Amino acid sequence: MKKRTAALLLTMAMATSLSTAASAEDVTIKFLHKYCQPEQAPVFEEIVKQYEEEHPGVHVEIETTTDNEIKSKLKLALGSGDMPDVYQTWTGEYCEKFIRAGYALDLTPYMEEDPEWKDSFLPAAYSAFTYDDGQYAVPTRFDAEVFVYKKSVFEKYGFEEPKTWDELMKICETLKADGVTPFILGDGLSWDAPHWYGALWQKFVPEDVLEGQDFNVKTVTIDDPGYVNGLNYFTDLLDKGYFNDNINSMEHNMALEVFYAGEGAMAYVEMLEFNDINKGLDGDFGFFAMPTIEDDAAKGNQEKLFGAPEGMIVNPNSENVDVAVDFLKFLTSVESQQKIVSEAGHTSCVIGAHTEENTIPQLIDGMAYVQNFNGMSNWTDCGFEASIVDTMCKLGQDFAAQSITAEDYVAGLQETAKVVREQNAE
Amino acid sequence: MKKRHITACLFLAPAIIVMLIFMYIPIVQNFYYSLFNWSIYKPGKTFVGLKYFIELFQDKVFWTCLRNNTLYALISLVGQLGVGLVVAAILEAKFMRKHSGFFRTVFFIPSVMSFMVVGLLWQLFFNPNVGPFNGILKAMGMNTANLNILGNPGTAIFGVIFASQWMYFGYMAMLLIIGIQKVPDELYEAAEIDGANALQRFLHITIPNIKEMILVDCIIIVVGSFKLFDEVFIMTNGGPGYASEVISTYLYRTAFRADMMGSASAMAVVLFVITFALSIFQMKISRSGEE
Repeated sequence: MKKRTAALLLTMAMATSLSTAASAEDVTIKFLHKYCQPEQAPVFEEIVKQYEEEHPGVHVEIETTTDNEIKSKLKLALGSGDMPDVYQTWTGEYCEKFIRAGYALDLTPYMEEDPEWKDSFLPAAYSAFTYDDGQYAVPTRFDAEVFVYKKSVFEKYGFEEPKTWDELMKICETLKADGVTPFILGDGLSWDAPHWYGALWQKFVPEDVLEGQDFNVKTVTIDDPGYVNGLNYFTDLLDKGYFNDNINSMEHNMALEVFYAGEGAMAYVEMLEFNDINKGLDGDFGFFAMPTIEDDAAKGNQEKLFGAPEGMIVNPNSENVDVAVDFLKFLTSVESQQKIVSEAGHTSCVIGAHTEENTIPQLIDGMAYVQNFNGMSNWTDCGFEASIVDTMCKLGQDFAAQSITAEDYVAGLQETAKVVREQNAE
Repeated sequence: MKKRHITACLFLAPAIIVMLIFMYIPIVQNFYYSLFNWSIYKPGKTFVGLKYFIELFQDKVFWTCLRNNTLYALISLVGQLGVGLVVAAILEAKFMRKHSGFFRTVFFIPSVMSFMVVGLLWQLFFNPNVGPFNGILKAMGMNTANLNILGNPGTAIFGVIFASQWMYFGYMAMLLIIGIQKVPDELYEAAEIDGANALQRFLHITIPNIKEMILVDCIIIVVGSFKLFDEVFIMTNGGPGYASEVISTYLYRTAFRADMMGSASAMAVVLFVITFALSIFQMKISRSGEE
């Protein structure tokens, strides 16, 4: 009896040690993204499942949240030391702060080892994440801000896509005179109107000041006259009644629903929304970039497109850096990206991901349209430091409601910029 | 005796340890952090002393937050406690007792709903484009052309406060009903014999007998008003601009949007001092009575 018990114990011990050996080889990586919409999340789950099947022993834990909340979530994760292995980023200062904090892996050696991977991205999108010769993220979703217009409305009035601001104003004048609201805008979430401001600043503030001096936490001042001049153009639109009422109490999606329902002729939106707009307007839309502003005060870059891609970072402090990079490579493969494009309707930065079968014509045109521009001008809400972005969004609502002037708005930004400079002086 | 002490300590130890780790140590740590300039994205901290406290009291937005919190507290005292008291008295009146159960349920239901749902509901209700609020006022002959409750800096906080009153007055009424039910019937009967009418019975019997409960409710409302977060975050996100910002949402924004952790910690200290002082007051009051 004693022998049988001993044998049983021995067997159990061996089984335990074997299972421990097997689990020691198991690897778990955390993947945080912001694609939580019903049509998006399942695609990422499927890709992860496929990766796990092809890589036995690797487990990818997905965490997802909204576009609005992911920034807070990453801050909490950073504070608690529980950073994901692969996570979402935007370009500019937003990405750079992770680089400074030591939470963004320089992917250059991996790219040198696998040049095919490097060459698989659209060059303009790829370089958006190059900082000091290091490649700290790979671009995943392409994005730029453009005006979307209802083709039927433009045809009705015989409008051509405007090339200059004056042409755009003539269109607005005609529409307004006929009782049609030219632009639909909802700034309830406080970032929509700043997209207008940012695009106008790109046209009015010299590029080296905006993207060189003011996107830098050590030198930011926001005192170029171009800021106020750009905002004055927005005030002009408000004064002429070219926007819908109640901008601040309408959220972005609600504004788009109003737009689909027949209100307004144009909306300033992100290219990554084209699929939704296509459904909402039943294909009845075209697009154009913010036109050139022919004004001596407009000293910014007129030839760039306002926007930048989204990307993914690998955490260098991950216990499984190589696995995380391998997973990212899998995620950005043409096959995975084609799946994401066709099922989640994304705008991919990977060459060959978009085909005529999986992409609406406007988006294919959009991707080609981008090539007409002399590069991209980064989003101001990614380029500026976080507290300046916060002020920009909050005071931006007051400015859109015309409860403060352009000068007050810029003064508020300057005040925050001063604090940022002081905090980063050492 | 000694053994009994040890047993008691052993039973209390887990709770004390959890409280220490998750409450008292973080409170002390938070005060310590408020003396430094630090960021989640940067290693190291720079000592700045009381700089953030001084800046906080010079910050216009912080005063807006304090004003909004105070407004919320004052209006809630009337809207939740005052209305709750009247509703409780009516539901406990003899002529209502038959239907009181139904109305208690109706008034109490909003308070068990998630504010996420209630907030979105009221947000849509007030929306001038799609909500019925402006339409109702227009049908009553009012000019609603420029009426945008949550989108106007002057009215946004009142929209939030109103939604909150709707949600919680039933809860307050329930608490007060419990108090009223403890008042002996003999007192009302004696008053009736003496010729007291309903209002006199309410003023001279009901209120003095539920005084303790009213005071406790007052403190719950006032302390809750300074911890306000969900309502503002969901309905207006503190906007437009900073118009409906309250201390908690401003703290959240300063820490997790602007990444100014030292300043946010200082704000948390001030919030702690306010709520702590009010809680002490509450404890004093609850000890002073019989309940």
